Amino acid sequence: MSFCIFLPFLLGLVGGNLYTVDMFRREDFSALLTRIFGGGVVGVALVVLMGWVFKIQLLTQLLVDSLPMAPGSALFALVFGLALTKVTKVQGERWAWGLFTVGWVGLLCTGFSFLGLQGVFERWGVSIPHSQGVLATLGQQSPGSAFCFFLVSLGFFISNWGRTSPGQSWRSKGVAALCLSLFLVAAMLHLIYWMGVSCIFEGSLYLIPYPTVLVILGLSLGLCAREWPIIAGPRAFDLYPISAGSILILLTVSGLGLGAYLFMLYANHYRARAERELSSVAQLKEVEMVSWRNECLQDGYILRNNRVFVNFVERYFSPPLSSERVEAGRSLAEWLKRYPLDYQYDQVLLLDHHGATRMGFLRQGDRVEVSSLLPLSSLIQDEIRGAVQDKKLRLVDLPSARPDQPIYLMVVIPLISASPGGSVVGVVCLWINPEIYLTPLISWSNSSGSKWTSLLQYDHLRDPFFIHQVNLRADGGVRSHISTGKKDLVSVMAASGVTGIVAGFGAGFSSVPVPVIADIRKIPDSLWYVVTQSTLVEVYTPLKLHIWGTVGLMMTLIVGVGMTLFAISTESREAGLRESEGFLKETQLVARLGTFEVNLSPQFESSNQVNLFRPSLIYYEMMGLDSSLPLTIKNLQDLVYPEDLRALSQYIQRLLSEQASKFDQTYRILRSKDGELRWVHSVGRIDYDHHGQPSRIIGTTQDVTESKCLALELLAAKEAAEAAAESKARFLDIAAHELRNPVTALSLLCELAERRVLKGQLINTELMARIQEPLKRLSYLVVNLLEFSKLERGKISIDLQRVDLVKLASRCISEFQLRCENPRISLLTHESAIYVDLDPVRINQVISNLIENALKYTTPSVLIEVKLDLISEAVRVSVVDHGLGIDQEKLDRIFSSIDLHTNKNLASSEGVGLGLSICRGIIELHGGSFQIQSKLGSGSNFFFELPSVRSTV
Amino acid sequence: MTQKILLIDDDLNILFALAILLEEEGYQIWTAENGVQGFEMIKAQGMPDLILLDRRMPTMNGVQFLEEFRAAYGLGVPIIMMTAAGDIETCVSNLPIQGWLSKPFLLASLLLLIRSNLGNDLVVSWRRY
Repeated sequence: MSFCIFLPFLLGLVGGNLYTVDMFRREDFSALLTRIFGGGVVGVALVVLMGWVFKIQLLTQLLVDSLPMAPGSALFALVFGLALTKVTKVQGERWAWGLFTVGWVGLLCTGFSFLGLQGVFERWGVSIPHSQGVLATLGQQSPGSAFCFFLVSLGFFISNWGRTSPGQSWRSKGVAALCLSLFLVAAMLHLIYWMGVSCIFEGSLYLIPYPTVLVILGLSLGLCAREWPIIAGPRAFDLYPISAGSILILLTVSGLGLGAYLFMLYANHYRARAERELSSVAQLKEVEMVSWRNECLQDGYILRNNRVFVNFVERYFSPPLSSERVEAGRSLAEWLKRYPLDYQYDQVLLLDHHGATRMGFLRQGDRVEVSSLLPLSSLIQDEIRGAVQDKKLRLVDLPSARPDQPIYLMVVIPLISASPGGSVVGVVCLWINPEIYLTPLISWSNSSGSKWTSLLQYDHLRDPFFIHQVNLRADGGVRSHISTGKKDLVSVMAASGVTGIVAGFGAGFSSVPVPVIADIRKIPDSLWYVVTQSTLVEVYTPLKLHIWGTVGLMMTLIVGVGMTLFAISTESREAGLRESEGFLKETQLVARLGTFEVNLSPQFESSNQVNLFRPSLIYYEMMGLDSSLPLTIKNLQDLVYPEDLRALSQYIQRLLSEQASKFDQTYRILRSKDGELRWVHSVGRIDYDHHGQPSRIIGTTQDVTESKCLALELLAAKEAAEAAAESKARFLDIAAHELRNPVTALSLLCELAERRVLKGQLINTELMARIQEPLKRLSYLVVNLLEFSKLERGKISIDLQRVDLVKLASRCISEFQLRCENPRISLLTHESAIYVDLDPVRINQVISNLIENALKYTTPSVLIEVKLDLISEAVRVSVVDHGLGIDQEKLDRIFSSIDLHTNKNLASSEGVGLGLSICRGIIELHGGSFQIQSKLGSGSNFFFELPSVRSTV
Repeated sequence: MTQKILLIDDDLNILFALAILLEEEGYQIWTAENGVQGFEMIKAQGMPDLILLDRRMPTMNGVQFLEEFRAAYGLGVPIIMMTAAGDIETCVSNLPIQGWLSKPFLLASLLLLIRSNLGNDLVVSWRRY
């Protein structure tokens, strides 16, 4: 049952969230469920707890009462939820129109559901205990509620319309404000109307209609959604600046409204109870009043049936014996004086059948005295005459002439003679004062004096200006005349013939009218009304016992709404935060960018505190540090590469001394995790306090290892390229020199030859040999240059064959030995045959070149050895001479130039470097390595190794 | 009086051809294969009237010889440098020489340069032709 009150809210939330949530995303769905069920369960639990703690039995009843509201409320809440959603996530005007339509449908449905429900209940005659009043109220209220619904939907429509055109925020604001004020005016009118009706017709602050409260609540929520940029999203922030105050006010208003409504609902219940109580009391009083009057009548009959008395009266009024009459009169007087005190009467009058008063006695407590005989009013005369004529007893209500006179009930008893066809011999009138005789019967005491019964007598024919009233109390009646112009509403109502339960102002015992509820009952065949009244204090007194419960319930609702809103807002805010944090982290990760803050203020300076340094997580990761461990300046310093630490600290010192703020340094760190050397680039700003002391450094550190390595590589490549260019230039220079020299020689020799010929001399063989020598050099150079160029460009291909290297080497050596007479070249090897995959022509060229070099650069006495050694997986071919050797500097440059004059002992000037370069190129093409070992003074060793050795056969 | 020319070049063919050709022109030619031999020749034979110097030589190259010679004997003797280098401007600029020739050169231009540096030789030549 408790669920009912939350059902609309939950439905609204579901409806609203269905659009915001992508149902197929698990986390969204679970968030939705958490939100809805969390809110619902907490709310229901709080309400149930409240009921249990404060023992509010009424709560269940209250919920039953509000049950019929559920369909309409649910629809409203659905509309509201949709509106909320669409306000926060407006896609276009289309939605606003849709919302508008839904709002209208909701309003109509709500109206019909109220009216329809009432009709259904009435037709079936089903009565839900104590809730008819509520249902009736709802039926009456639906036009007003519908209007409110309409306004709300219109408000949402307008606000949405404003949303769809963000450029017109001022207009949408204005229209929204107008709409809001319209709504407020309507709500106020609605409220005033109902309150006014209550005041005028029911005399109490009776009802604040439930729908109004709901609408206020909904509107406040809607406004919250609009005002709260966290819920509405950043877009709303542009249009509607945050106004927490307005949210608070609206929440308070709605909470108070709801609380007031609940309060009134309690009041209704207690009033109904009071009315039931009142009507039962009134019933009792009415019965007693009627039976008392009957009793009075019965007393009359008893008197009339007393034959002795009637005899006395007959004798007293029988003519003409005067002495006998005097005697009879005396006896009658005695008898009347002794008339039993058990009977109720204040005054007894004896009248003759003409209506003339003959005898009268007043009762004073338990004594009876003779009263003076005053003339009777015409009213009494008429009554007596009537009674004489029809010979029947009559009860006559006598109005008092003056305010201090009691109101008497007069029993007119016509006495009938015992003789046949008996005529009326006389009339006895008993005057009975109800103040005395009725008070003990129908008065009731109540300590607070908040309940009482009064008798009213009003005869608009005889006394149109005053109402005679007797308030019956335990200690006697209090008489009063009430002017009909007075504001004793209850009395006036009674006087105007209203009976039943009414609410109004009653004078009670005090002269100040108080709000009361009264049960007015008319006594049949009389001018009397019995009015039983109870002040509304009586109604509200028990309510006060539950006021804390009511307040608690109210607060629960407010807090519940607030909590839900807070949950939603926090969730969205946290989601936003998480998202931006994730974004930041991701981007930092991608950029390898860590942020840090170093606090340099003096209180931190001395200690190696943790908060000295505030790095981002990526910073830890970048530095390879464990983020759970405290980070201090000390262990940061340990991270910096020792070579860079000094420079870095000097840099910082310089910045601090100059009070410069820009910090920009690239340095190396040894990553703590794996000890890897990384380049990092720190950019930061140093802040100084007003004393000029550095207070902190904030900035970023980026891992720039890759780019730094790249830059370094680039630098190296640039240097290499420059070196290559330079060496090429030198190479060209030398090549040019090598070309120019022979050409010069040729040209000069040709000049010489020409002159000889011109002079008629013969050209001798020496000259011819001299001419041929530079030519040979030139052709050698050209061939080698071509070869080298081909090698450089990778244009030389080798034709691999399985060849016995020993045979190849020995053949090569024998060629040299044939050429020169001095056999100083020897082959040294332990193997008989070594099979290697190689290009025999090229390898022959290499060996020849090396031998040639050795021959060229050593004196003829020096021995040259060609060694063939098998080293694991390779064969090494060495050409060793025991000449002068080459110094280290020249050795380094031997491949990069064709420095012909280095260490030259011979007149020969054929390029060595070019040849060696070509040799190396050929060996590298074979996948081998070419090396030179040489030491000044102890000869040189040119050797190369060839892989893929075929073991000796 | 026959004018003496010291010819220093490591290329024996050039040395041979130039020596004959210049002797035929009426100069007395001393030859040396490098700067060291050149100094030895000067010590043995005395100061020449002109030195023809190759730039790139083993043991002591032309530039070294030039510096030492100028340091030892002053600027009195004209020196003509012959070079096979590619960029002559950088090689010969700021050197204390009277002229230079880029290899290969014509004999005529060498003779012209020698004559212009040996002043009186012009008369002799003119008389001869």
